[in-house]
Amino acid sequence: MELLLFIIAVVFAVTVGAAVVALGTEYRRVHSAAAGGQAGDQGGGLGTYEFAYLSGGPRRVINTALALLVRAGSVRLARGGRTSLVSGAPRPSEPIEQAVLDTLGSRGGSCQVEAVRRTVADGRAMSGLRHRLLGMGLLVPDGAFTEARRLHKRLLVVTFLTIVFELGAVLTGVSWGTLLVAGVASVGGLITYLGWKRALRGAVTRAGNEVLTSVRAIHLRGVRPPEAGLILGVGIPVALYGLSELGDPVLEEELNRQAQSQGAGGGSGCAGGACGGSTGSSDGVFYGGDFGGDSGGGWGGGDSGGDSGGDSGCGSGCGGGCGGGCGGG
Amino acid sequence: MVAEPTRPGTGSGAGAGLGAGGRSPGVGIGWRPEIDLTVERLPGVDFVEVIAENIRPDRLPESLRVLRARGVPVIPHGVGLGVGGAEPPDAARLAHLAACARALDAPLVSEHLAFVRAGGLDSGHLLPVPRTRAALAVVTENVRRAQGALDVPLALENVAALFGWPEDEMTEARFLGELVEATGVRLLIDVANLYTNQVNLGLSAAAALDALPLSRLAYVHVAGGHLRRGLWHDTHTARVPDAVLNILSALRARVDPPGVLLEWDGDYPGDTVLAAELGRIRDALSHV
Repeated sequence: MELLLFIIAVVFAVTVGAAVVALGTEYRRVHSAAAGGQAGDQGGGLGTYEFAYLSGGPRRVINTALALLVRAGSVRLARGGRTSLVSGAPRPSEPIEQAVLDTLGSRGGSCQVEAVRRTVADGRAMSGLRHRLLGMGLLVPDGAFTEARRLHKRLLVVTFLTIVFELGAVLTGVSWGTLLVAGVASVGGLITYLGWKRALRGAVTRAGNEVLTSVRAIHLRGVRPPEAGLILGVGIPVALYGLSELGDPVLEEELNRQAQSQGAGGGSGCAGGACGGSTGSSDGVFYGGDFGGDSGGGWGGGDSGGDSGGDSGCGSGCGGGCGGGCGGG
Repeated sequence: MVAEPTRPGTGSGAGAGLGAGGRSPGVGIGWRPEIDLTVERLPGVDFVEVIAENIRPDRLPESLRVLRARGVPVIPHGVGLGVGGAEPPDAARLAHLAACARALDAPLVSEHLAFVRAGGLDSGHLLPVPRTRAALAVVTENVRRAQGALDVPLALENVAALFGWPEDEMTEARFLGELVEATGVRLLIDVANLYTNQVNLGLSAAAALDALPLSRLAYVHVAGGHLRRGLWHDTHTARVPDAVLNILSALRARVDPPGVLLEWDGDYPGDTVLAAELGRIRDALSHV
């Protein structure tokens, strides 16, 4: 009986290990395919919003646009996260910024900042930006992780079964060897599952991560060139590191207000997609979805911390009638 | 408390209660939710005014709390009391104004000398009051009631008009003068409204300034508008025309106002434009 239980434990351990290996192999295959044959395209045509997308996904892109528009005086931010068009402001040339203004214009000139995010995230300007990055091999395409996610679920199942076996083994008092084998398989499977869970929500390719690393080496967090203009003083810092780089805690708070009111952390304020935290992996920056809290940094995990990625494997990473020609006031 | 206005050049105390200490006169801007952060950040804002009907005294907007914490006076400005009506002012509206003043620790409350409703029907406008002896008696009683319900002084604003009542027996300045004499009410002089009446009704703004009891001046409104088909519309959505600023300078030549406030109620421009408008007001006050 003891030997049988030990063999079962070994089988569980081997099954968990096989699932882990299969998952890693599939993940690397996806990244190789995404970057294949397009490495030469990655150097050119990248600007503030490409960096923002690579750093923090659509949310970071929109926050960057809002920060720039507010600083430029084209959009006004009021307490409570209310944004509005500024009368007489010049029209920007960037499609994302135009999309923000169009969203406000279509809603009578003002709306909550979260409504701007939702609309612009689903808009043509954002999808155009995403397709450009996909074409450069800097983003992993949609659906590329379908097989990996299937393997991920398989890992969860076998890990769960191993844990059940482990608990049963503890209760029945089997040998330390059996417990050790099952325990290593359980813990290892669980850790691997949680690590890949974030990784599989989305990804920047290795090439994309290299772009980010090189840009961040030039534009350091918290460092502003003397007399920096809007792009260097606001756009690039917010794109790379999040709204904390705006250097204006009140504006940062108001831009984050609604997301925070819905709950802190990376899993809050989500719409139409998964939320995640800032993660790093051997192949790039992982991301969780278009929306999330704004304190974690990186994809879907917020927009205040922002320094994600790495090379160390999967980790956590009137006025009431006064105006209007009423003749009063 | 708002100090009594002083003659130009005598300076001291003119800004007490409204303007920053030592500066005279204070310059302010109408606080609106859409521009709350802008108002908080505009340099040199000595006081603000909030539409009383748009706030709840027990839940003041965060921005107003921030301004009050900085010591910026906030004046509740009513638009719906209707002291110019035949009926006594509504007790609930008066209680609201009083509660706003208490919540904001305001030095005074302002309203319009206007007719706004009758028989439960609201005009939706700040209409001119028939300037007759009979109307003056009614308005005097209404103002006394309002003053009795408030813990702080009441200031009444002259309105802009697109028409005048045919039975008017006296000028607006005389009407206001007699009302002030009977009640002790303060005046909120809107120079943009004087300009509106000058353009639309041919009533001289300079003559009005000469006749108004400026010794009871609490503060001044300034605003921009639009000319359409020969009529000036006091929309509060445009830059202040030079003609209005000239009236402000003319007022300043007669009296040292405790405060001058820019009203802007829609189509809000950028912060730099609003700051520039406040600068133009200061310039107009210095060009006496």
